[in-house]
Amino acid sequence: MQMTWQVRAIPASVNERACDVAGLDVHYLRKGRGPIVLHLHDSLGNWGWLPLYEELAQHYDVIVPDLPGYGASQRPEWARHPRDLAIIVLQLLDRLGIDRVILSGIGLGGWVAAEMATMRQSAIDRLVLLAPAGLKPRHGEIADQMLRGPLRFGLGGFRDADSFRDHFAIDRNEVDDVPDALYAMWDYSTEMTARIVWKPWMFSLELPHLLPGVAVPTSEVWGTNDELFPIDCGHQYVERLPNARLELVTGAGHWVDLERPGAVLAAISGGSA
Amino acid sequence: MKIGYFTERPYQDPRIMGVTLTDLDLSNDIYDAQLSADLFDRYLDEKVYAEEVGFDMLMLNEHHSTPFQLGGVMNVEASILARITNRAKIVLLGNVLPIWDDPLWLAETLAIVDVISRGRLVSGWVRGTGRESVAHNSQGPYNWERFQEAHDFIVKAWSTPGPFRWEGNHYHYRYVNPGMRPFQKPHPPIWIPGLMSKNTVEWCARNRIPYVMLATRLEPTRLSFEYYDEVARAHGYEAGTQHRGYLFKVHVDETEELAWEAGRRFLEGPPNIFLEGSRGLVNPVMQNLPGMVSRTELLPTSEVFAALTSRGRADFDRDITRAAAPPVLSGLPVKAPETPAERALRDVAYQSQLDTMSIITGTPKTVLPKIREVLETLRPGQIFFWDGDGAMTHDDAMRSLRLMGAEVLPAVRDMAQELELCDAFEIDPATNRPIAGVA
Repeated sequence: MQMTWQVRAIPASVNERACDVAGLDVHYLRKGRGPIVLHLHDSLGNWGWLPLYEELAQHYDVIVPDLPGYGASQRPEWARHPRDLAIIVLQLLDRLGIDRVILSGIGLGGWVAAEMATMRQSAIDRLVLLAPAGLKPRHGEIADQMLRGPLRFGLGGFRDADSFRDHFAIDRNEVDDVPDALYAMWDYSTEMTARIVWKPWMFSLELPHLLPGVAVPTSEVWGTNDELFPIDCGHQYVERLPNARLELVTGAGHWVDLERPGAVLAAISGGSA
Repeated sequence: MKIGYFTERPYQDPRIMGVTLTDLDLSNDIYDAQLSADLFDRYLDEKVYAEEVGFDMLMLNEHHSTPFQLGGVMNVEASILARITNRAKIVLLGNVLPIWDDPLWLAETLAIVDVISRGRLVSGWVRGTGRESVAHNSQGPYNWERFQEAHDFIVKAWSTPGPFRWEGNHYHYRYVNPGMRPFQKPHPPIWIPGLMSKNTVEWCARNRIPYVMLATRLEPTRLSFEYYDEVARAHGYEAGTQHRGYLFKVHVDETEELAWEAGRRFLEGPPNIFLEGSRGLVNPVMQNLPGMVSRTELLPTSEVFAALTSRGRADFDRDITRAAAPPVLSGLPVKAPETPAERALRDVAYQSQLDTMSIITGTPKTVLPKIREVLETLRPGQIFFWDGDGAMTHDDAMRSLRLMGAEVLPAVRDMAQELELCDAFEIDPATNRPIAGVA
């Protein structure tokens, strides 16, 4: 399934829609038939229609929103916490008349998904958390998108520089800089992230106390070469959620959705990689 | 006209003088308390002497987590000056409003400085760079909102009898009734320095607050002042010289040779991204934190290269391999003697600043026509001479101060009179009316 794609270039077969939620124009991408998979992007924004989504759309009705304040979705000037985004996404589901989803998210999107699960677990058939933020690591630190800057943060999420080049079909002899469109998106997204996640950095002091009440079957996927989020965060999710398991993906970085889409697909389908 | 004296109070440690260093890349493990104490003595003594030779204003500023300035908490120095000086205004340009979670504490601190100085405080505000927001962990995207709300709150805390309650967007107090209010009524003058943000200039002009441009080049500075004038007109008044301040590097010495050598020391101190040619390298991520400053609403001065590099708006390094590596603190650079090639490069940087009058150095006779050109072009009511910085010694600073007092200040005052450059203590910027009691 390894292939390259254009940043934010959406294939014609994918529906781009918008919906008014809490007075905001919220955009989302949608394709496929079957059970609904709602996937939430990370703190660098919605990168576009990833190969993983195309694969999922063969079996599922896949919805990938631009979280409020990211991409084409309007910014909620008042939002100060990922929980605010979780509430808006739940209201988006209400507006779309959706009452059950398989919910997945990566990084910050995983945190938002976990918050949604603490609020309305009855709407969630399965929770798939890809190296989610939200919990304070007992050892190590979550990489700082603000101190590193979006470039170092984004690139640091790949297994290595070559993995990045491979995904973007960059020939190091031709050009070896991060493409403008990707950089612009990362930079723009980081502003919204800074509005809702600043201190504490990428974790909640409340969430750990609410997770034990979430009985939804949960799969976590974590790359063993993740330099951005310590795997200890993953262990804590498993310790606190009564029905969760953690799958380590050898050799992948933080962006398991790009580097190991097969493992993510299996988690969403309820099987193993 | 009011004339002020300013230096950034560099931490002149021989280990970092003249080296190349990226901003925020040095551990504070380097600081030597004995050296720091000596330097504080020196800079305070120079301020006292500046008042003695006739300066009207003593200016302080602050930056955080950097060796190019000792004074990370300028209110401490201001409180000392409040007691050991007698006449000069103490001009703070300025407190970094958005980074503090408790502006009431700031209001009280400044009120006490104003009282101890018996009404000599000019209280400026800045939004700070990314360096300041990171150092005190303040959210960049709310920087501008917090700046405005903190200003409104402090002005109210100073000028409205308490107790009152404050429920804003960023600050919340159930009992505002500080034990000290300012000496000056209704409150100390407020001035704002800057060189980048149009929003800030617009806000200043709308609120009739004097704006102090930090020196880059004359023409873009003039254009930025014109923008202030336009906004003023849109709000129904004519901005005057009382609304304009200008900070520029001026050094005066006994001979042209001494002046040239001392002026060059602006470039030879601890790396300072605000001192062009000093080999301070910008950390673009820090200087350009998301949401800090609008990416589009910029002043003409922001186009000047010196401003570009110092504020981190030059292109980011997007090299994939370098950027993919985890960041490391490079630490103390290895100090090597300046090579002839490096010396030549620094000479070019120095000469270009002399040519554009970003640095003015010479004997009183040669600096005065240049200062006159600055005054004629920009028409500021208040100016600050930036001197004694970089690698300049106490002797360099004192020679210059002595000559300024004896020959430069009187001549500049005559020029100001001739050019009708009234300051904010003669004409009230809020009303454009003469201030009572001013001769």
